[in-house]
Amino acid sequence: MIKIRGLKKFFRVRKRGLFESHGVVRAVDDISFSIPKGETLGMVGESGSGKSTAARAMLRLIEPDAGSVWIDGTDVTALSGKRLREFRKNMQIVFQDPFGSLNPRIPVKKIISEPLRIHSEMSRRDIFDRTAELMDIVGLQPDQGERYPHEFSGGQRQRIGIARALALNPKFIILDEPVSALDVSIQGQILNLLTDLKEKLDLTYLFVAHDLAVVEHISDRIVVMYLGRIVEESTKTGLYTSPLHPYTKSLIKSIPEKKPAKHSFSVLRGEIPSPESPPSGCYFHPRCPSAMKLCEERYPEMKRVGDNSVACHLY
Amino acid sequence: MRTFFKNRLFAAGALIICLQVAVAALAPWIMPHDPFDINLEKRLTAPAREYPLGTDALGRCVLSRVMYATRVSLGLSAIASAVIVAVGSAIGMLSGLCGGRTDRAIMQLVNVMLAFPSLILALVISGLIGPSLRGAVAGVAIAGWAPYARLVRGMTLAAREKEYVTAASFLGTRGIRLAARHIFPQILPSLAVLSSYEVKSVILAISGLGFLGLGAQPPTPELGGMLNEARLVMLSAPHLMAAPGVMLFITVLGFSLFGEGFRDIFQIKK
Repeated sequence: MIKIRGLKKFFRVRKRGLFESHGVVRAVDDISFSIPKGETLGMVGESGSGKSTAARAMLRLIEPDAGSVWIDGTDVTALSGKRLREFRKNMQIVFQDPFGSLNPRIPVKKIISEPLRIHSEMSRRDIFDRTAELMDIVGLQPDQGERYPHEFSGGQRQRIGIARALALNPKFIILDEPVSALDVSIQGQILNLLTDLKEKLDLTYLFVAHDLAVVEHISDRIVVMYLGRIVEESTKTGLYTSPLHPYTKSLIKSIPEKKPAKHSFSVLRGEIPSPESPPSGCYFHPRCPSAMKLCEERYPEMKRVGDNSVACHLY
Repeated sequence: MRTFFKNRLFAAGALIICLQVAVAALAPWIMPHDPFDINLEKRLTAPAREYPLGTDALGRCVLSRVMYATRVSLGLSAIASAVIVAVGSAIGMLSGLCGGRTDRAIMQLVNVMLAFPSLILALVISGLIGPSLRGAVAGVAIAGWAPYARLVRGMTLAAREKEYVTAASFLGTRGIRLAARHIFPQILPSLAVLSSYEVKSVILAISGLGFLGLGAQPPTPELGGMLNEARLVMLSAPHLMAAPGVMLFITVLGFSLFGEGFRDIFQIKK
């Protein structure tokens, strides 16, 4: 069971001008959610919505400014030093960029076995066997272990990253846009692999993505982020059949269909506003088709609507 | 390898350096005379068949002495450069990896070191240690590590941004292992290029100290020291300055060309 409560991460940015001043970017602003054991939570939002920052803050790859992250009853934000390093065995991350996240100068089997050599007292023989096993689990040929990352395709590299993440038998894995850098034809393979692994190894996922089409495939529940805040949380079916927040609606409409009717895309107008100076009231109101007077004045509270929650004045 | 030698600067520099190293390494066997052998009957002779570059004020063979001096100077410079690069990279990586207070303390020290003109600093340090080969090397090394530390710190900070470094440290790789496996290999190419480029200033510094009497002590020949000895008899035997001077010039030229070419090949900006 994963429980996130009131997670915040603000960045100070320097503004240039006649007088130097500091602005604050509220990259992650008070988000809370839970992931039951064995489930996958999809986290979607445009770039700049703070989803990657939230993921990294959860793992303490960057230090959160406030909030707590409970993993099976342990508050990760309260750990430090040796205990944090020990606890990190339980949580892992698969990075977006399968090229940047593997050291090009180290053969693949060493990349995969590095966590084993650091965290466990396994013998050489056991490490060798475990590495071969991991490569097999993710669908790589164990005899390719001597090769270097550049000898693999993008999809295979992502498999290497997944094998590395699995090395220490984690319970919880954050997938930070694991397929966005891959060809569409490969994306399905990796998504299927991740689904299989979840079943087989009893994992819990947080799946971060910027488009709903990918998330639909793999998630049980979905949170939608906009400018550092969660605007909607719902079950997968609820989100796709009856989206609540106008932002979610427009995201769903922007998924390309197989047989599109002419001009059926309702493309969201405008860009995501600068997180340094978010709009007044509801952050979405300048782009919202159903904005009201109230939306300019007050940020909506999270409200429960059936199985789902939404932060919108319409409900 | 081929692309390396297509670069003319690199090829010319490499050729000169190879010749120099060959002379230095083979000096004991190819010298026409013993460089320490004094022959007072033939002092300050002009170049002739027996002494191709003439003799100095004590009647010693100048060609033999230049060859031997090349050996001494190149050896000292190699040691000093190695120390500078090793110490500078170690301190720079420490600074970049530790961050925080350690980083600020080290960088303050670097700034203090950089505030002194390096030759004067080297002069003071080797003067304090005492005029000797060891003193010259120590002086040049202590005066020279600071810019490297700063450079390597910057490269380390850039190298840390790579996602695989984040991945490795998240998985628990720390300290020396992180530095050796994930950081150092990234900065090695730039470091190799920059240090090859800097050898020439080390050679000049060592010879400068030698000229001022702080390097090799007589009778050991050293290029800077030989220039100083020749200076005393400059009016009666001006050719004595030419031999070590030209040798020094060629050596520095070789390393400059080599470094420039190396840098061009790797497209690294200074």
